[in-house]
Amino acid sequence: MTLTRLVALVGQNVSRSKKNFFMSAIGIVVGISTFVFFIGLSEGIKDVVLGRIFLVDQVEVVQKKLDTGFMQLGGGRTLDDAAASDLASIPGVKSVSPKMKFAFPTRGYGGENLFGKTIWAEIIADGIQPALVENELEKPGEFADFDGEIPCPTGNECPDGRQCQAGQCIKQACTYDEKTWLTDCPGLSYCAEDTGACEMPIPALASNQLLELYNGSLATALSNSKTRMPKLSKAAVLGFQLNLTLGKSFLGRADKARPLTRRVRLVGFSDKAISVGITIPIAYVQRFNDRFGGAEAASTYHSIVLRVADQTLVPSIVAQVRERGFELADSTENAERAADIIKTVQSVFALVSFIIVGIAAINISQMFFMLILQRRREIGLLRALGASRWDVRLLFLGEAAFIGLFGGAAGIGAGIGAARLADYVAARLPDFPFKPESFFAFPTWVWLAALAGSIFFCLFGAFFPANAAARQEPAAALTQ
Amino acid sequence: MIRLNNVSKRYRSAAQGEFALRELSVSIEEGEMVAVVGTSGSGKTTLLNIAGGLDRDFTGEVAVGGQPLARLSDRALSDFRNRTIGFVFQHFSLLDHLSTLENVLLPTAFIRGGLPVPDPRGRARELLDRLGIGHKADERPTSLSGGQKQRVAIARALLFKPRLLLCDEPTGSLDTTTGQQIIETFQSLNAEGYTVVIITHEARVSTAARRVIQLEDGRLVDDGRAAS
Repeated sequence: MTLTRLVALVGQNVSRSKKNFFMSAIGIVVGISTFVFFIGLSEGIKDVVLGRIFLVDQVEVVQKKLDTGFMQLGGGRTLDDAAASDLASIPGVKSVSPKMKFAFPTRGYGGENLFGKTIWAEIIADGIQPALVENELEKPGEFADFDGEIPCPTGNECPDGRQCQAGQCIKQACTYDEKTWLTDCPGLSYCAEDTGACEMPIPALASNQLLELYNGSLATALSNSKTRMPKLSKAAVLGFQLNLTLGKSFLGRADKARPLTRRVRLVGFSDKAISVGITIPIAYVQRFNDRFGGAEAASTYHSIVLRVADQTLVPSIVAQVRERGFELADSTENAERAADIIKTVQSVFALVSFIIVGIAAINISQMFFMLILQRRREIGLLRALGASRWDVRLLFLGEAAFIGLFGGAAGIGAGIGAARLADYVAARLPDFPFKPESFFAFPTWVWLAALAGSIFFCLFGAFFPANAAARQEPAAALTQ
Repeated sequence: MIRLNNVSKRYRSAAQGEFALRELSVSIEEGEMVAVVGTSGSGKTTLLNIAGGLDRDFTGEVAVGGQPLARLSDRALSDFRNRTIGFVFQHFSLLDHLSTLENVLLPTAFIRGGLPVPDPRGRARELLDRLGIGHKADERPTSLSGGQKQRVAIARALLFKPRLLLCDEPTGSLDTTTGQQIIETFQSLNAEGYTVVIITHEARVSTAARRVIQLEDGRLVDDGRAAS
C-alpha cells in the first residue's frame, strides 16, 4: 500500500470515528501538555540558573587552598600567565580569560543624580580582558584601557582629554576648580587632582544580576519614609559615573602608596562581570595592584575562566584542571550541583508525563481492540480485496500515528498555552532577583520529543491490536 | 481455472469439530458458470473461501489459474486475490463511510506494482454506468436499495477484470425480481468470458448456471453439467 493510499484510508477511517479518536487523544493531550509545560519550565529555569546565575559553558579555575578546618590558606599553584598558558592547552578549552581582583581596599561614592542622595559603598572590583565582552556590548570601544599608552598613527583617534603628539595620545594638562568642580577637560574626561591631567573615567561593567538584585531587594531595603529609592532600568544607569577612592575604604587603607581618586563610568552589562561589584579592563587592575600591592599582586590572577567548546567536555576539562593542581571556583562547583539538580527534576517531570501518556496508550490499546472487534468483517473484506496482513497492520498503526500526531500537536499547544498563562500570572507578581521575562523555554528538542513521544506511545498502544487485526484469517473475519 | 484435489477442512473449535470438507476433489474450467448448492453446513462457503485464498487452513491441494495457493506467501496471495479474483458477498460488504465510487475503487488501495487497468476511476464509472447505477456514484451506500448495493459490489469485483468471480449467496438478501436481475448480470458476465462460481441454496440461481455442484456434509454428492 502506498503512503498516499494509506493516508487516504486513515483519513477516511478517522473521520468516521471522530468521537472515538477524540476521546482517545484526550489522554495523550494531557500527557504531552504536561510534558511540554514542565520540561519547558525546567528548561526556562535552567536558562536562568545555568545561563545567568551559574554559567555552565565555562569553568572557573582558582588557586588550590589548604583547608585547615577553621580557615583556608593559599599554597597551591599560582595563577599567573604560565598557568593560563597551561590551562589553555587542555583539549576542549576554547579560550582562557584571567580575572584579577583589586588587591587593595576601595570605596565609592556618588549617585546624587540617580538616587537623589550621595551613596557611599565599599567597592569590590575585578578586571577582565576587554576582548571577552566585545561581542556583548553595544559600543565595545567604550570598554577599553584609556589609561595606558594609546597610539594615534593618523593623528585623529585619541580619547577625550588626550592629544596626538608624535604618534601617541598624550594626556592634556588641566586645572581643577574645587569650588565649582569645573575642569577644562573635554568630553567625558575630567581633571584628576593627583596627576593634574585629563583622565577618562574607568569603563566599568555590571552584572545583569546586580541590577536585578538592586531592583528586587536593595531598592526596597534602602528606602525609608523620607527617601524612596527608584527602580532602575539598564538604559537609566548606562553612563552612570561614580567616584572611587582607590587604596582606602571603610575597612582599611593600603600602606604602600597614597590613595587615588578616580571616576568609573558604567558602559554596559554582562554575565561575565562580577556578580556584586564592578568589572573593569584588567590592565587598570594590574596597574592599581602594582601600585598598592606590588609586582606579585599585579601578576597573580585570582581566577582564570576557561571557555569550553562543548558542554559535554566539561567533566574531562574539570578532571584535567584538578590534575594540574588547581581547583574550581565555588561558582563552577555550584553550577555542577545546580545542573545535577535540574537534570533530576527534569527527569522526574518527564517520567510523570510519560506515565500519563503511557496510561493514555493503554486506553488507546483498548479502544483499538474495540475498533477491531467492530470492524472485523470490514478487515475480512479488505483482505478479500487484496490487503495483506502488513496492509491491515499499517492501516491501524496509521490511525494510531494520526492520534499521536493530533494529540501531540494539541498537547504542545495546550502546554504552551498553559505556559503563557503562567507567565501572564507571574508577570503580575512582585519583582524578585533574577525574575525572568518568561519562566519557560522551549528549545526545538522539546517539541520534537513531545511529538515523537506522542506518536511512539500511540503506536505502542496500537501495536498489539494492529497485530491481532493482521492475524485474523479473512474467511473467519468475513463470517462475523 | 480451479483445481481442488483431495481437500479436507476441519474446524478447530470443539463445537464445530466436524469436517467442513472431506477429501473433496473438483475442478472448474475457465469460462464456466457454476452453482455450488447444498444445505446449510454442507461446506459451500468453505469451498469458496478455500478457492478464493481466504482460508489456508486445509489439507490437500488447491490451484487457481494454475497457481498452487498453498505455496504463496501472504503478500503474494493477497496480490493474487487483488488481481485475479472478484468477490461478491450476500450482505454486499460495502463501506458506508465511502461513496459508491470509492467503494468500487477500494481494491486500488492494495495494488502492488502496475495497475491491471489503465484508468481505474474511469473503469469504475463505466462499470457503474453499465450496471445502471452510474447516477449513484457519489452517494453513500446507505441511500441505495439492496439490488443497487449488490450491483456496486459486482462493480467492485469487476474493477481489475479478474479471471474469476466468486459469489457467496449474491441473491440471498434480495427480492425475487432484483435477484433475477443480478442472476442475469452474472449470466451476461459469464458470456463475456468471466468464470463465475456462485454459492447458493436458491433453485433459480442453480437453474441459471450451466453446471451445478452439490455438496453434502463436505462431500461432493453431485456434479451436474448442463447440456450446452
